[in-house]
Amino acid sequence: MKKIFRNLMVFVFNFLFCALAYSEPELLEQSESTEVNTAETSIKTQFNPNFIFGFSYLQWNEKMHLQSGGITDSDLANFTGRALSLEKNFPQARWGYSLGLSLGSGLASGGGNSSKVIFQSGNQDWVSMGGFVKIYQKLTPRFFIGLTAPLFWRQVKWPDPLATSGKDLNMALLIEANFRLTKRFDFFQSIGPINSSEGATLWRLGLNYRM
Amino acid sequence: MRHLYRLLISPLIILCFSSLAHSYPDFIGYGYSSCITCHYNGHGGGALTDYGRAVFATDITAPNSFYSGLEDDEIGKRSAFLIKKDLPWWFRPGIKYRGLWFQNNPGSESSKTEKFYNMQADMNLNFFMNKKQKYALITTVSYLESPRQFASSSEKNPPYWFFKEYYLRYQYSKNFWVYLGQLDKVFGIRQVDHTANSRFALGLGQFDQSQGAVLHWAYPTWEISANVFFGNNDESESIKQKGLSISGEYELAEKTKLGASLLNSRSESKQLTRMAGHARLGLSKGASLLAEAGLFENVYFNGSNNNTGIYSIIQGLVNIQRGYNLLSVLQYTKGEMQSTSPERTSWGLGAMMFPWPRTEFRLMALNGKIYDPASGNEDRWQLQGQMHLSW
Repeated sequence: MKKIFRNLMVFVFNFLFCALAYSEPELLEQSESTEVNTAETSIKTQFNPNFIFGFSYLQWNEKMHLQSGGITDSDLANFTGRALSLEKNFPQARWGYSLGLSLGSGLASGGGNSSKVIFQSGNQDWVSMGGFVKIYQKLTPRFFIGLTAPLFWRQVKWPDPLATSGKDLNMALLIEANFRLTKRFDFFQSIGPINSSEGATLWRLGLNYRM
Repeated sequence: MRHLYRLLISPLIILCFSSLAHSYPDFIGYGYSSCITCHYNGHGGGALTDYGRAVFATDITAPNSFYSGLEDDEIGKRSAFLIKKDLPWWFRPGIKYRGLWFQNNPGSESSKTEKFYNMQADMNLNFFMNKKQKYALITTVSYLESPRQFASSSEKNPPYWFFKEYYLRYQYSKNFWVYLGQLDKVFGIRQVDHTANSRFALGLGQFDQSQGAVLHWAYPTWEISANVFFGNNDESESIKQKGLSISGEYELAEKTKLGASLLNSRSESKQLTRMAGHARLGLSKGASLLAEAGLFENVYFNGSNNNTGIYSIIQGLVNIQRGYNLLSVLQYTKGEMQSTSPERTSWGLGAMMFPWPRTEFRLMALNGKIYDPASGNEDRWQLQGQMHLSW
């Protein structure tokens, strides 16, 4: 039941995105235009922080370290899940930055490839909490591109105490593309290296709601 | 003798200089929300109309030396097959070529692989029975270097030329078209990447045209199509998928379309069902977001390997400056909803460029991930480059 719910969540998330169709391009561009016009006259008047609530789907990998009876080996672990975030946005005329907090949870699967140490475990729960800093450039009124640096602590308990993966504290640097669907809703996607494992990447996609 | 020479050479010249360019569902960002605006096939794909070629040359292609100092009207006229010379009203040819280069696992000394494909080589020969193009015969002849995906005893070994597409198009009224012949099945967003999880994996790939009939109603705020199909001419009878598909779109607001599709077909060995919803959003000039999500079910009559899965694809296109676009494609597939089957995701990020008339280049970097409860999996990386020439 839990698996069906999880699969349906992913599907519904994608379909809900399809359904967010009401756009107000005129209002959005008008507000952006006003913001640009006031930039030259007063920085204070355009400084207008707001809060953004986000929901995202994320994936990343970690290197597993296996140990059994003096024999060690390495393997791979995959993490998938979802996260909620709350960020405070500080938009400027042509760019902006934000600071945020996030909570996440999901499932992890690892092992199954090592011939020296037999270990495989699937669908282990993980949780995370952390924060992030984002800076972005407004290429068009409806499309922003930027960098996001999340720092998060994550916990996963593999059934075998001699199987470990990655680090509890993780930092990543992501390129983020943000599409402003409507005045309130954004669709974003980001990808970049995560330092918990060698050569691993983390990517996220999600929806933001501007409050 | 001179006249005979001209009669023989002229068709070759026509074929060499005929114009066939590209138009994509992503171009809803330019306000072109219906495929029938630019294509002879009202659901997209295939040859462009004269209007479609002119739009491509003036709106999509970057300013370049070929059209330096010319007004848009003149540029539009030069998008024709013979550039400055008009063809007879009853004939519109075209040539399209796509070459694909890709490299798997770049940076890896041990597992890096690299390949180049001549992915597509098509010749369009389109004929019209009146100047208003109410009655049309649309054909595409393709050159094939690699075998198609269906194993058919009647299909000879490549390379060879074959009729990929051929249909009669009849415009009954201002809002109603009928198509009869072999053409792409109607379902979802007909995006150009035939390997996308919303196309090939669902039986809607590059060579999955099917003989049948399509009824297409297109109004300013809504469209709906019904397609009865009977299988591809080159397939063995036992594997031909025969069935019905229905697809429709509704315009909620300007440059904002929601749609849904349903397909059901069966052959002697299996039954296929697909359902999807999709959205096409034009965010600003040249910027768009396409999304499609759906279910697929494959039922094998021998009882084995039945599966019901889900898929989704989200594609974003952002125009940086005329002719140069940022492209992002996210795909998700889960082969079995109710089991521990792997989830496959991929994200491609790159550029779609139209630097010169009739030419497109793409560069993409793709990252693929698999979440499999049965084992850990490495990421897959791929670099892709494509070149498209359309004449």
